Amino acid sequence: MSFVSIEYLVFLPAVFVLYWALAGRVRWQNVLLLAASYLFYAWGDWRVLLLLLASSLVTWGFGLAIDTTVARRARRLLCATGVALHVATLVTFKYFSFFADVCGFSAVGLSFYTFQAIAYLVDVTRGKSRGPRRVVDFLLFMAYFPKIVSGPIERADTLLPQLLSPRRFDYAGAVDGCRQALWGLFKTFIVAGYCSPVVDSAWGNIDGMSALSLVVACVLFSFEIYCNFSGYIDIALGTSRLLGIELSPNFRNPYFSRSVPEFWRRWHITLMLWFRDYLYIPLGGSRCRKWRVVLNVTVVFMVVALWHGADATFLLYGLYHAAICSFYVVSGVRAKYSSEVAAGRVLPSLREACLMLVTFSLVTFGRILFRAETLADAGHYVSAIATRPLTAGGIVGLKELALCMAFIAVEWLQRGKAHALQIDECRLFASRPVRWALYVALTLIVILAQQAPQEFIYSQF
Amino acid sequence: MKRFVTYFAMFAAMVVALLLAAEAVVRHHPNSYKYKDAWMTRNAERVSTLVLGGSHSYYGVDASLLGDSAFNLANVSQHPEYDYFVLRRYGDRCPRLRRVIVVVDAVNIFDPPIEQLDGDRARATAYRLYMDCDKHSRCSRYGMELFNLREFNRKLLPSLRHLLRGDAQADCDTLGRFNRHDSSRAVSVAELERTALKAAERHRCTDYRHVAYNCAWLDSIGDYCRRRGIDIVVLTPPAYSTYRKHIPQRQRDTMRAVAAKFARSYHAHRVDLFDADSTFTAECYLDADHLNREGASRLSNLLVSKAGQ
Repeated sequence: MSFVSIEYLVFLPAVFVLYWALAGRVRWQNVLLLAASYLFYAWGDWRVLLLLLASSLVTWGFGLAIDTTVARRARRLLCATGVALHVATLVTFKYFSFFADVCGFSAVGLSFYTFQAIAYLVDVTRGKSRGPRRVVDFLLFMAYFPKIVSGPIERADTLLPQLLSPRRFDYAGAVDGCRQALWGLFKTFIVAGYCSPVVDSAWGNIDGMSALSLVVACVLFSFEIYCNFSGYIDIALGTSRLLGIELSPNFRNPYFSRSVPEFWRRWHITLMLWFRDYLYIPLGGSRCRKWRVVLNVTVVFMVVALWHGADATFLLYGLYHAAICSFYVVSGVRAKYSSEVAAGRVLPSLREACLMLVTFSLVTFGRILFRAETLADAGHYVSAIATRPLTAGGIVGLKELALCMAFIAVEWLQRGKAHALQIDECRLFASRPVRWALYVALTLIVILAQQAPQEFIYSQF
Repeated sequence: MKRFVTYFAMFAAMVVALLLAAEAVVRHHPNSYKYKDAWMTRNAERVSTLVLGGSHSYYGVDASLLGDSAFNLANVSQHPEYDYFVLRRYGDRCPRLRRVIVVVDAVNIFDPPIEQLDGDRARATAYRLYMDCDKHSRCSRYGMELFNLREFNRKLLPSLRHLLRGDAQADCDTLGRFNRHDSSRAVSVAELERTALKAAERHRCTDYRHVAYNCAWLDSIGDYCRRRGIDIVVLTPPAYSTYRKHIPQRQRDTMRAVAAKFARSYHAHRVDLFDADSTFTAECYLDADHLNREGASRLSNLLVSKAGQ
């Protein structure tokens, strides 16, 4: 089931009412959420559930075995076996389409819940987490519907305690959850939805576009993928807050980063933290010689690339970012910032603005590799930007670019907040009727101004 | 909790009220379905000829040239199933009905039911709402314009604009032929070539399963006409040469076989103009498979001369 389907409009209120009718009875609330999550996940094809169920039960079993084993070596062996099983499943289904073809389905969300399972096994082995006693609670931890398809990738020590403790209805949290979901829908349907056709037409007719049109399409793709993915995450987080469960934020204004490493700390945060904790730090992290740090960074980005897919374009995309981040390591150019950009000011300083522009340009250029189907396509696109007349035949996508600029201005003004609709403190929206008028207007815009049904780009990973 | 549910219900009620207002605006806007229903309700008693079919006859047959009591009941993507529906609904009210022009072309007998076509699904809603077609219930997804969101969004702003200006008009002329502002223009050969490839690609049949389904509806039309002693003219409208060339041979052969069999079974006049390049030159086309006003005049005059007035 998709967050943006008619079915979900019926599903969510039904789950919400039943869930809070069971308030105070955690066990039954979890049973209900588990049933709802399985229904949500198996809506299109029930067979995907078998893989999720098998993966969850294997993880649960290994977790219990690790938990009850005292010998350190045995714990590690159990953990390694469990992790190997998960990696094998992921590789089999994700990278050998043959198996997916034989089974007749592609397992949506497989890489998200596999990473969650691996993190759980490692955390239990390290003694950082303990598995829940009831299998239902663990199955829910794996399958919880707001995050099953595209994340965020949750850790046992943040999600499990919430699933095991009583939940009280929080009015402010629920209202803010609705606003966050509404902002997510706006980002997905309006910003990403309007950018998408321009990007598709540019990629479908590279030779017929002017150089500036291709550059604009490139910028629009950056906004499309950000709004599509972060929009989805906002809907997931908002939905979950309606149920009194906080999921981890996955984005923190990535396009306001002053360096590429900072961008990666703000983009798909839960995935990058996963790689930091379970790959980068075990490899030695940054506390070793520079060449070794460069190697670690390269390994991490190659695995990030492989996580997206085993295509040459993704591998080059990983190498591209590894090279940029390695440059920061080798040159000693500042990559980490302890304070927010333009903290306490409305506008950034000239230096900050330049750094943000350079970072955005580097990231956007890399997106060509992300969007291209083959390396030849990417090369063709880049050479067309360099060789095509600058404006011949006009520039496409200017209206969409203006929409993106307006969107990013709103995000800039609201940059310290969890989402742009946290407007209670804003004087303009102090009165309730004005706030409501804005919410109603945004809802109508989302319904009536949407272009085409939106696919969530990251659900394919 | 109670406060949240109350506020949420109020918010949802506001949104729903505004959406219903938008639905009313779109429904208020004139369209060819509404116009044809109203015209037939008023004038059915004097109608002697009805034109059925999809956009090829909707654009291409000028009922004013067929005699003084003809009306064009064709509409975009109106396949035999809905041809039969409009014939039954309006034909029953036409005591003087003598002739029905049925179209068999490279599209209408190959397409699946419009409910299965993404771009045409909203037309089933139009038949439900404006012609009272009972194929779908009022409570189904075809019971409101709003339920076909993409089409609804496309219609909303023009409907609102026309409502405010007070200049709204249906897309057809008084006798039901497509009559938008650009319906008389002639296009360049280059544009015809371009649209020919696109249209042929769109109309190329890869799945012949729906032919039997559409033929069954053609037979229903034939049986209805036979029962009432109504003459049938089976028309295959002209199409631009490049378009024809890119329609597969099997599809063209099937189209001709179906038309011939139907004409034989119901003793109908067969008017096949699919290859009539000498009569329908480039200046007769609005695009590769639709005639403009000039083309419609020629086709209508040919129909009269070949099948009698």
